Amino acid sequence: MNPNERNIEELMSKMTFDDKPDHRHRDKLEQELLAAFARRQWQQERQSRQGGVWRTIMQNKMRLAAAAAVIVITGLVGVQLMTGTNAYAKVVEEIRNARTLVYTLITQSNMGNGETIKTDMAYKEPGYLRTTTIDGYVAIVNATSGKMISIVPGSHYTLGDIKNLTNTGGPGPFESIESMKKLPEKADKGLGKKEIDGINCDGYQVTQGDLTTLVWLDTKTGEVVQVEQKYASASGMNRIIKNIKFDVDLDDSLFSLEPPAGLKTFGEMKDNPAEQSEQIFIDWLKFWATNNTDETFPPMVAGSEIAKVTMDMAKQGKLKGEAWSKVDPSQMFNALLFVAKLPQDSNWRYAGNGVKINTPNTPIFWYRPAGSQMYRVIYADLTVREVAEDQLPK
Amino acid sequence: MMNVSELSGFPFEPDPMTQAKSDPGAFTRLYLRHYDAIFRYCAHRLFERTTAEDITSEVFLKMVENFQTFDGNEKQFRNWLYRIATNAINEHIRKTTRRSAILTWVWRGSSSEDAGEAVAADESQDNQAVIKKALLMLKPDEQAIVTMRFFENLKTEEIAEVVGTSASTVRSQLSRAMEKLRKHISSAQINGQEVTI
Repeated sequence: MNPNERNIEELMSKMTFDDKPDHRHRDKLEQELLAAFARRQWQQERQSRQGGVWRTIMQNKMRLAAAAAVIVITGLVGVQLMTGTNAYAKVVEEIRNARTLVYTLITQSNMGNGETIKTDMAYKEPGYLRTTTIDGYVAIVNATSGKMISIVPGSHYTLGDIKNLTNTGGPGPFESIESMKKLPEKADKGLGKKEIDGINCDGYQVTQGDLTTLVWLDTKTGEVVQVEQKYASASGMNRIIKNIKFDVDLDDSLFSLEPPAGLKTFGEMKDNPAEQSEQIFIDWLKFWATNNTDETFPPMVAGSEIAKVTMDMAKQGKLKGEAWSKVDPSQMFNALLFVAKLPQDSNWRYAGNGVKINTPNTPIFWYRPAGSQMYRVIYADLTVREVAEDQLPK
Repeated sequence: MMNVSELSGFPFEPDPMTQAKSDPGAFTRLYLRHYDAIFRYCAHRLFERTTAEDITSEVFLKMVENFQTFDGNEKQFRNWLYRIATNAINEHIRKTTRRSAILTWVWRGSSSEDAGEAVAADESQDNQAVIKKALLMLKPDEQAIVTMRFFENLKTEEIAEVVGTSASTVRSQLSRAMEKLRKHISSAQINGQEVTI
């Protein structure tokens, strides 16, 4: 090649590169950035609580629609866990008088590129919970007073009355994590060694019904490093728990129920048992499935992760704005409390993730009502049948 | 019943940069508006997708760390991202072993791609490999300027803002870099031999 004969600039203009952006990397990085952004929101919020300064920003209608779902759902799982233990004091004693517990909850929405959703969970005695979603939404629950607050960063807040939330019989967060240390005793098989976040771990697989748990324990200390739970019949409920730490210094201000100054309120949601029934839950499923462009059921029916899912759907234009703009958060709140209040031994499962409404012969939710030997199964056409346990989806 | 549409907004519209500092949605939109450009810049400088993606991640994560203290409009934000990217890429390239690896990869990749191709295509591929090699043999700062000017189509003034110097200095550096490029290209041999630095 003779540069005197060919213009270098012209040659460069004809160069080709492997430079087409890959949406998978872009989306994955977006998740990481939002997690980092959320951490900064938390830090800012702490500072602004001290300084009494909050920014107010405009939210468009779709963000508000998404916020409605956030308000409804955020924190319910935690409340369930927090109020669900009968042996709370005993457990606390067993775990070396631990006062606080934090961990990261990771789920897969199976939407789009199967994005990963992370939620930071923080518990503090005697019954405080704070969740921070990937998008920086915060829910604070005081299980002793039966109050909660949900905060849309820089915009709105909602107070919630959860006094009627009942004991579901499930383990509390401290007990749950601690009990996982004993899972190797029930292991089907060992998984060998693996390094997780720089920690050498021993892995074990435990199968309990349709639930397979992979637990990774610190080789040196025996502490739980990571837990992966997979449901054969309800993949949308799969999750990973990691970054588990006890006795982290959590300032009381993190659990304050005082509304941040400068934010508007969505109003107050009340836990109304009269509005919590299977039919109301079905109505909510129908609303969701008929008001998104994919006509599919929600990826999950509990957990703050759905906030992120809703945000993404709104961002992608998948939510039908007119219907969502008329959402009554209290109705949704109570519809989902139907699930949150199901007893531990109801063995409820949700398998509606990605299922289109009216798909024939497709179970999307099932549970065993208290005192019943039979299960109630809700199908994608929203009919309900009673089936025996051995006939449940595997 | 509360109607969320009643809560659809405040009586003012903050600028996108201010909004992005407190609103995850606005932040995401800002990120999405700049991701492609930054990735392409990384790819044009490193010639390798995986590394370009790694550096792109590094750039945006660094951006988040310092975003709250950034005070400028979106154009300045873009230039700021290019500056972070330039520093990250330069640091990456300055590591000699990596630089050798990139050069070797470019060379071998070209040779491999050429096999079985038509003569005209061979020539085009060979030319590209020579230019890529020549670009990588520039000093990282020089390569940055050339890439921003000819592949990202930034104006001299914009490059000056990115690299923190004057437009006249950029013009001088660009001129010197182009002269070096010509020399590198003139002396290049395309015979499949390993590249040494």
